[in-house]
Amino acid sequence: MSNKYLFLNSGFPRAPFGLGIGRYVCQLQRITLKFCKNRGGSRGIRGFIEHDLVNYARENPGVVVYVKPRRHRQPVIVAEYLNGDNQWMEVANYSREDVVKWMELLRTQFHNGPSLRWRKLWHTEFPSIQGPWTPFTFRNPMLNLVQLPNKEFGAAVKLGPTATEQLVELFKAQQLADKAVNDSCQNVEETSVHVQRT
Amino acid sequence: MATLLSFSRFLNYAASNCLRRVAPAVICKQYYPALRLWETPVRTPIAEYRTAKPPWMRPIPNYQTEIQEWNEEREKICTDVTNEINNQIATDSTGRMFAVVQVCGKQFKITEHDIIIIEGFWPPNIGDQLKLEKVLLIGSKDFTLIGRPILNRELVSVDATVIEKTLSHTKTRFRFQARKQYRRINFYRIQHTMLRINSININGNINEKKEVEGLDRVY
Repeated sequence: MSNKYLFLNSGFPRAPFGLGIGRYVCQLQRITLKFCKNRGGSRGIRGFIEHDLVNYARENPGVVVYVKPRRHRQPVIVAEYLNGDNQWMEVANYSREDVVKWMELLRTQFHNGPSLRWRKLWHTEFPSIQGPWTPFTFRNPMLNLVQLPNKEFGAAVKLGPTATEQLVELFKAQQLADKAVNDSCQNVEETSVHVQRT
Repeated sequence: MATLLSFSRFLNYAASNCLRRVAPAVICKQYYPALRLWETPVRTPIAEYRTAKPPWMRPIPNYQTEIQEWNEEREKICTDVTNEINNQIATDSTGRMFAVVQVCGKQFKITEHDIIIIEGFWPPNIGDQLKLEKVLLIGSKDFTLIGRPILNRELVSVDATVIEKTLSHTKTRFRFQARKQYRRINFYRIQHTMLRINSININGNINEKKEVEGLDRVY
């Protein structure tokens, strides 16, 4: 299994030079097409150079395009960006349509895409405008004036009768029952029984 | 004479019935737009789409009923709050505003000059100026406007620019079942579109119903 991504650089979304705040500027600075004139692997990129490259350069006047033939080497596209980043990609055995698509992708990005993993998909310089939530948000401001320690606010949250309280209740009920019985019978050993039970 | 009397009685009955029906809608037309969050909201019963009605169900009225409390004090509070917000908008003293927008099925909390990345195929190209129209909420230091579910697209405008379209890093999808001779490995990259939020604005006064809406764009 490929664990290559473990060694990948990661980062947070940033745009160079405040890009997009004013006028948008294409961030691709120069692009170099390296290819072989003979080999079949360079066929797609040769087709691109023959048919599409002039239009590409005309439509993107801000991009410098270099074409570099070299004998018996694999075809390569190298893109360099305004922020100093560059992307090298091999295009051996790519069809002409593929090369068109990859050239378009290299034009629309501003960093080396595959070498960076975004950790977030959101970046802001102003994390909170109404203030972050605190336990006192939307609470009664009278809480500020309370003298602490306070019995009412300092008490533990009471959810139900505890075991001790239930026992006390039971005991009281029993006492009442005993009292009723004793009252009716007027037993002499009342006090001793009561003392034993308590 | 008897027929006349009965006719007038019928008229009377009809009139009283109509009045009874009309009156609550007219009286309770005022509503409270700027209520505090933690108070119980005003409930408006909405007629449901249901054809088969069992006999024990209450008949659904064919007019919209608004059951609202009438309270001078609350009314005044609401008017004051609305006026204050309108005043802030008019004098441009709202300060920095934030918004919650939904783009491509995901919601982002954004403010001016934020960057958001949208995953998946999305047609806009680099340099395109977009207006994000699904605004669920807009807020500033002193107030928050909450859409039900979205705010009027003429009232608020959130502008953005597409600054990058690229592919993510190569992600690995590995499936494996122990002792079953089953393992599959796929690699894929997804499209990323980076947006820069240019501005968040409120155009015009809140709590104002315009005569004609939807003229801001033509299909």
